[in-house]
Amino acid sequence: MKGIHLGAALTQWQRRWRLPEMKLLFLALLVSAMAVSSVGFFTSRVEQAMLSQASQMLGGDLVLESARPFDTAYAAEAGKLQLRQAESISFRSMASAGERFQLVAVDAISSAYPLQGQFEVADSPGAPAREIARSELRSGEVWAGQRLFTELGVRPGDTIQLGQRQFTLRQVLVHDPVAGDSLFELAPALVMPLEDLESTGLLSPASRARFQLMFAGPPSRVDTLRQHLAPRLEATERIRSLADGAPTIRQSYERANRFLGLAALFSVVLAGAAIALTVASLIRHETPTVAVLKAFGLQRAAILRDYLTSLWMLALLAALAGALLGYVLQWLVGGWLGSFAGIALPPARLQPVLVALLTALVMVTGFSLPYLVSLMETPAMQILRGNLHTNRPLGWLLALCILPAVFILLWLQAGELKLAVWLFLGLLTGLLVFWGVTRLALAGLLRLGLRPGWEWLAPLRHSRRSSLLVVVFATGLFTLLLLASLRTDLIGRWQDSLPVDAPNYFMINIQPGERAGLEQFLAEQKLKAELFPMIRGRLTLINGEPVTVDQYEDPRSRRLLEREFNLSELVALPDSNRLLAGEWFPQAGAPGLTVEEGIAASLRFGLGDRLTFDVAGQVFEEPVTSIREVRWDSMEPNFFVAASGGALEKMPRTFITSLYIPPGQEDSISRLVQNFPGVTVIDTGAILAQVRELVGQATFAVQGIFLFTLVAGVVVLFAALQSQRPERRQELAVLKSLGAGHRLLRRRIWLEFLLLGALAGLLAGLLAMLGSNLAGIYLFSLDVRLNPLLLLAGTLSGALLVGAAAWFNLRSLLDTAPMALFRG
Amino acid sequence: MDTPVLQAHALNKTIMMSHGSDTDGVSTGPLAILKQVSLSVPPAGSLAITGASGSGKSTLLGLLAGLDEPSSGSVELFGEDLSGKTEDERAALRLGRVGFVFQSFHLLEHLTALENVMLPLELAAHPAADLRPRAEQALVEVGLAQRLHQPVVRLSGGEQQRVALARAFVTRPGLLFADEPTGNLDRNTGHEVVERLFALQHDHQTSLVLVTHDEELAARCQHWYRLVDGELEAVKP
Repeated sequence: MKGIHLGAALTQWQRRWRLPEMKLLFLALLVSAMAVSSVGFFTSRVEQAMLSQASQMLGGDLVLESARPFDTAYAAEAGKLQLRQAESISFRSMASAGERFQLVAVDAISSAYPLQGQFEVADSPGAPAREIARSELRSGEVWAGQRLFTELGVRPGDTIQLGQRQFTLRQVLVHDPVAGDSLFELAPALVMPLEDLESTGLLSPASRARFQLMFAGPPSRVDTLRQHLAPRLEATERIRSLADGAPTIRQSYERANRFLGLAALFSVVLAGAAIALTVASLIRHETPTVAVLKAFGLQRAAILRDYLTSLWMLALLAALAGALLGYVLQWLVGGWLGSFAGIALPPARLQPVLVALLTALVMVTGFSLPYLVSLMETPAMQILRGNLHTNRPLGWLLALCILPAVFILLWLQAGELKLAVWLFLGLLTGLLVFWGVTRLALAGLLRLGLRPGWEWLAPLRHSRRSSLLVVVFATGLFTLLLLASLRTDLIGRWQDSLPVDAPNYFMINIQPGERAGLEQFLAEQKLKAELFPMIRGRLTLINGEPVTVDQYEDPRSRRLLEREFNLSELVALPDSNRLLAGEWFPQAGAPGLTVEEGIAASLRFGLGDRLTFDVAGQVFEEPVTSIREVRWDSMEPNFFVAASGGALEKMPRTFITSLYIPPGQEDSISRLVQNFPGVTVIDTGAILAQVRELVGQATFAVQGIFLFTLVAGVVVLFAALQSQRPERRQELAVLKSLGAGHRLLRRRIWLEFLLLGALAGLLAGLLAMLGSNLAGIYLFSLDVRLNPLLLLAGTLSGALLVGAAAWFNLRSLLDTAPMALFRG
Repeated sequence: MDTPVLQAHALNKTIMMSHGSDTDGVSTGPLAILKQVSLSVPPAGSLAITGASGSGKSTLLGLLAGLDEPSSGSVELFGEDLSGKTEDERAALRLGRVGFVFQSFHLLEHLTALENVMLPLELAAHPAADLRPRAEQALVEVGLAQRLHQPVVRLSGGEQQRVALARAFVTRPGLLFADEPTGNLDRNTGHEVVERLFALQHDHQTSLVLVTHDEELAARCQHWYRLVDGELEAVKP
């Protein structure tokens, strides 16, 4: 095959560039590339910000964990990749001061720890916290949680014994940046330099300890290390990532991520609509030219190649320009929003440029190919005779080109095949519904318009060719409304999930003998708290079959089986839980167990399966009678497995509760600690602050993307109108020649587009209501809510937006003399 | 003699023109398209204007219909001087009283035959109950009774021009402008359309201004002028 001559292609391209359709297509591609890339840049920045925030809780971008010391080759490999690395060894031990002993959770940390975030310490118990560098912790010194000072009756500067060595208690540890996943740490934390560990003699090969290697650095190099390590890990070693991190972080992050991906997808859909409209109009315009080219003896393949080359060059140019503009736009908006919200975003990556390029190429190819191929197949004589209307691409051709193109775009944006398939099917259904309903509604209105008394509907006749336009408007409005609805629901839900009086203290280790006294104490302090029993048990049998770690491959299940479950008794379903299957306990003491969905899925049991637990030698067996969904970010005690109230009465237990202590009332805590020395009080305020910060970032991201989609939607609306301008021009010329004046034409245009917009808006509102409920239920676990405001907002905004945009687009034609309009 | 339906006095049309191609630079200058054109169309009379391509026929038609303004000179439509009138005022004068037939039909593609024909009636605010029967009647007169609800894009060229005829005559206009009405049609179809045009003109007693390059067609009109170098030459005064 002869290659395409670049010089000739350039000349052709320059000639075609004079066509208004080419410019319009450029604009549409530019806008789509801009939308895709700016959203891409923006989401990637926000994603990085959230990842870095979340990895602050994880301790690094990549964290290795093991029960045994690591092979030094791992650290060496990370060194080669020039990644920052830190090491920690965590274990339990007893600390003593004089006659008093206390179990402590020791973290022996290397000099580079933590890789992200900062420790916070106070110089004395109750003093204000300040950030501190690891380097200030010298050999022979430790930092410890406030509780250790209370338990041992010591003050900063005092000496404590740890194993065979004495340490100076330097400061009160207030915040450990990696504490996000150690909410239920029973023992007060103690941080010591790793280099001092050996001298304590605490760590023998038989000791139970958790070894962690943490790495941080540029994402590509972290990925390289991950790929290098993954196949080399021992059975006891695993990579901790956000995906299997603490439920709190994971759920928030996944929710936000899904939403951001969805938002980006909408801008692709919007842009696709604009490209489709413009390409169709371009091909219409080029039809006679192709006939002439054919008549001159050019072969079909050559013509096709020639056109595709032109279009690809256009797409390339538009994508690059769009990506550049997108970068500037997201940089401006990101900077502005960042300063507004007080969040510094990391710099954008370049990947969205590639996505923009691919998007433009796929769009222009997928959307133009059916029209081009169909044009090639039409006999030249038929076109030259002026019978152009037979040039309608066959349905199968459309399906073969546009559908795969749309799917590829969705896949490109979703980055996940399953999600892409679902969205694709959803999109198709949505478009078909839009199309069908639009055709029906328009046909009905037009039929009505033929009846006496309804002549005022006559201008709507001009909208008959606009069912595509309505579908485009409706899709655009739909995405906007859906985003608005999801955004408010989502943020509302998030904020609901973290009310101002969300619990900020956890109390654990409440002995049964202390329960009545504690409840009375809390009542006197006017503090509300519900005490839940906490029973530690090991899952031994499922349906009578022994359960062993080896039966499960995924690390999460193995980890769940390696440790003891926190079992409890629940009288009523907690607010932060939702019943997914089965029945809630009919009364206190009823048999059965209620389990969290995630653990049930991981350990592969379900309704009706019998679980056997061993609680300190006492064995009990109960069937699973219900499955719950748990919102882990509720800051309330939550349990994987619970029995009905009082059902585990005979099992050894402690109690756990959470409560909100308003600012200024913290002294109740110190009185509580004095009265109930055995009770462990955990200040979750710091953790709560971290979660709030996450939510803040997610909200901010969603709003930013909402803004971009809004702009993209309006631009696509203009593109759609612009593509009809030549027809409108001719139509206005005819109407003017027939004697229609300004006022009449103005009225007709407004009426037509107000009605059209209202129709599109109503449809969009209906579908958005449906869509937001579906998305809410399946993606974000929200409840069904019918919002008539969506219909009203859709109809009104549709009418106004479309009416105003059309008026803006067409008013210049009204001022043009009829002869000039005819001349085009 | 009755007052002429249309009169033009000393019409001139000059446009600023850029000459030459992109390569040899651009020079601009005035170009006179029409020079001192005067004519008159009596009620129910017919007048043909012929000329070579680019001779300014369509420009003259646009001026006569008030679709454009002359550089100098005046046009009287139904006894009213168009000079000094705004575009809207000129449009109001045409509304319901002037019909058009164009070379490329200029039908609104997205409308059915019936809807295209109803359009001028709607614009002229004819009584609602009257709209449909009159439009249907007009289509019956051009032999398209079976094609009322067809979108016009599905009709053949001849059928489309017949729809255009029905649209032009449906308001029973006093004056009809026809711009190369057979230019896009084959000989047989063109002949058929011309027969209908003259029949309708006769039946409705409509004055006709016909612009064409077809001298055979022009000869069928009462008056015939030829446009040469922007000036009108009488062939059949």
